[in-house]
Amino acid sequence: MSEAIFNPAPGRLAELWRPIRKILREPLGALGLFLVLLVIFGAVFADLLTGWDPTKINPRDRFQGPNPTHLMGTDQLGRDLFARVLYGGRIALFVALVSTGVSLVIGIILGLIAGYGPRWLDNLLILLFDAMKSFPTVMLALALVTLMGPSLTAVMVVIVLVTVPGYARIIRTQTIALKTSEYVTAAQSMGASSARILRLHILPNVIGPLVILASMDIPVVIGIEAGMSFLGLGVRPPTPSWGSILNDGFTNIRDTAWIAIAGGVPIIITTLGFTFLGETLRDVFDPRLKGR
Amino acid sequence: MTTLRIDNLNVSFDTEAGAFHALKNVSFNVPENTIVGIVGESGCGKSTLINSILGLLADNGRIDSGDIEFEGQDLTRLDATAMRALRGPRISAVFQDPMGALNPVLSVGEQMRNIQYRDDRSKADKDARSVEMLEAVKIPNASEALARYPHEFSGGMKQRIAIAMALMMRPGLLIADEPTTALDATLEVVTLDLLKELQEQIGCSVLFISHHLGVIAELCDEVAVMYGGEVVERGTTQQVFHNPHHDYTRRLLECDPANQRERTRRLPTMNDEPGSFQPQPAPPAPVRSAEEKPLLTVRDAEVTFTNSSLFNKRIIRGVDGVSFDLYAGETIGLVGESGSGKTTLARATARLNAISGGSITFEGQKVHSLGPSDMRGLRRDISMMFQDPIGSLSPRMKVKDLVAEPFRIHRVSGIDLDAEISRLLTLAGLGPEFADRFPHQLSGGQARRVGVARAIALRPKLIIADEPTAGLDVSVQGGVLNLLNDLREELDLAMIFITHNLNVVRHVADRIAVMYQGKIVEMGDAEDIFGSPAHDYTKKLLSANLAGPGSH
Repeated sequence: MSEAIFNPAPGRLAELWRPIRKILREPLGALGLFLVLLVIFGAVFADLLTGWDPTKINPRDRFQGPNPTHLMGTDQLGRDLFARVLYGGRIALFVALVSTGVSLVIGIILGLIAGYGPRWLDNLLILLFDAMKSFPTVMLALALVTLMGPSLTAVMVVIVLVTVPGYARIIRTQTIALKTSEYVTAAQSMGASSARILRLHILPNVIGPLVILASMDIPVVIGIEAGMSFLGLGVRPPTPSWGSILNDGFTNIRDTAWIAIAGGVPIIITTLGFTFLGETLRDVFDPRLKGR
Repeated sequence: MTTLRIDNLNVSFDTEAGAFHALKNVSFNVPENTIVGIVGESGCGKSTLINSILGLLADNGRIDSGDIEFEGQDLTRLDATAMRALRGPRISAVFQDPMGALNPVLSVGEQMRNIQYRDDRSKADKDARSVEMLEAVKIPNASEALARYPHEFSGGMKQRIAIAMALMMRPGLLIADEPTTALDATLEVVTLDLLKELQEQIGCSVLFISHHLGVIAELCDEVAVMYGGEVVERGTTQQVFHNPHHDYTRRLLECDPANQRERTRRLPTMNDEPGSFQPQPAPPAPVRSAEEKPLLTVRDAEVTFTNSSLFNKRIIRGVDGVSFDLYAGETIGLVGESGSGKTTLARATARLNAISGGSITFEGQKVHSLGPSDMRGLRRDISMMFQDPIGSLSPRMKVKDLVAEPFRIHRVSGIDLDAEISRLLTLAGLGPEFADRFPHQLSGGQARRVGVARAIALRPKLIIADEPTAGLDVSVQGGVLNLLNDLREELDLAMIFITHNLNVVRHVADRIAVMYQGKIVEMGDAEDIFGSPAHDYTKKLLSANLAGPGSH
């Protein structure tokens, strides 16, 4: 059936390399890519980069400043901050990638249904999206945590609920625009089923901008996770998270500023990295800006 | 006195594949108070020429050498600010797409006032001048029109408003880039007359770009023929059209279907040896016995749209009681201006629209009351070709997958798909090297051929072709029409051929149906309709049809 379309072409590697080269040509894109890779590297190789256990309490070493044994110092319980930052990165990336992925899948499916399906279904779904959008993120988080208890799952559910309406709306608008295009009409006139039209003729043409948007949303998602953990609604202690490190630092900011710095700097680096990368991706791939 | 003098102009673009030389030693003059036409096929450098004159070349384009002298100033030496001061008051332009040329969120009056921003005059004075211009282009109720928005006007009116705007500052040179290509035959004539009238009134020069030879012959005093970035021939319209020197000009003239006086099943193309062309007369209409059943029967078909706002519900009749029969192997040409219901009728026939009355019967089956599985079968027998050759191909699919689509949709088994695809591509006149291309890598004519290959893939009995040659160059158009003519003989296809180009339809259709405001007002053998039109609208349509340059 459709396998031929997804068969890897002979020049697949070269095809992948070309956009990367375009990103590297932009200074901000190169910086973004570097920062993102740095964060990923730190998270993936956390166990190799530090010998410390991020959850091991060591009261005798509490509130140490940065020193050769503890590269970023220790917190109020004597835990090694460098280790906590690296392992916190794992949580942040895990939450960001998994929840963005889930939200993309749900958003795409709902958007396609709303855009291509009957009018009443569209109206119903739009009502649903708007209702979800109208909750402030923090209120939604508080409500959900009250229901589910603070956990990583609660964080991800909040993120999915907050981001799905945006993705679905974008897909819906584009689907509506393509629904009446000649090539979709042509497919209808050949007798193609709705599922086939959505899968082969509409999805490939609407997904590009969304992926770029999602990559620009990752900083926001990381911000939500950090924010919820900061408020104690997210990751349960002692699991390290940038938000909870920031909270530890916040309580002791007058005497030991480095804890807050250790929690804040990675958030800034990741956010900037993904934002730069996302914007460059958009410039490289957005057909409307192409060649201009 | 010369308004515009272009001397040895060379323009190139930097592309990933190296420098592309778009204009090569282009020289010609636009004398004061004359209309100069530029003819050429797509890709010959017409647009690059305009953009160089306007100083609007893309970032990767540059003028390598040569002069563009306008009213004594060398435009190639002007900086952006000086150029901007010229554009509008001295040089202005009208483009092909009237909708794209007007800002949809500003009222017409406001846009016209904006054009006069350099003048130090009161708002009322400016509006008075706008009204004057709108009256000059024959917009009814001009003073009320100021408050209206572009979408409230028809396509022809929008183009006239664009012309009014372009001529508002009384420029010395108007550049008109295919201004009537998107309009119907009747509107085209009106617009051209208007343009000529205003040009004489204002006394400006016009540089008129078109690929339609009839339009150029009608309007222009002088002509320059462009081919591959070069001006291959220039002279007065009379000279160029009656005594062409260059081979290319001769072929171009020969390819214009309007120049084929006799009905012919084969049209000349650029590939033919010049002068070698022999018309192939169409076979006489077959005598139909009473027993022969038509393939398609349309009886009193009606399609209505409801345009409901909060307070009133308006019913628009797109197709209003249409009846006709179509026999196997026969081609009906459906002619009429845009908005006459041609496309709606075609789509209703293929059940892409619902009908609100009457019946459409294909091989004894009522098309609009078939269940899903019978409908799938019908979709194999009726295939459609759409107006936009590239836009009707799914943009992320390769040519081979596009052609394979009908086989996959209908799960045709027991065939060698690859062999079938290459057979179809060959049949459509495309080499195997096209199989791996994407639609945006095809030219209009090539994309059209892919559309043809796809339409005939499942050996349908009926093809509905909606403006299959719109926007194609004359020679490419000839090739596509020849292909359709060959195929229908080979496969015994019935065809509904929709067009507003009368010069084309007489060579293809056995019978012609003229549509006007949702009704078929006249129907008959192609030759009869052309020879002795009965209905007023048909007469109007035929008189508006710009004949080829040879008739002048």
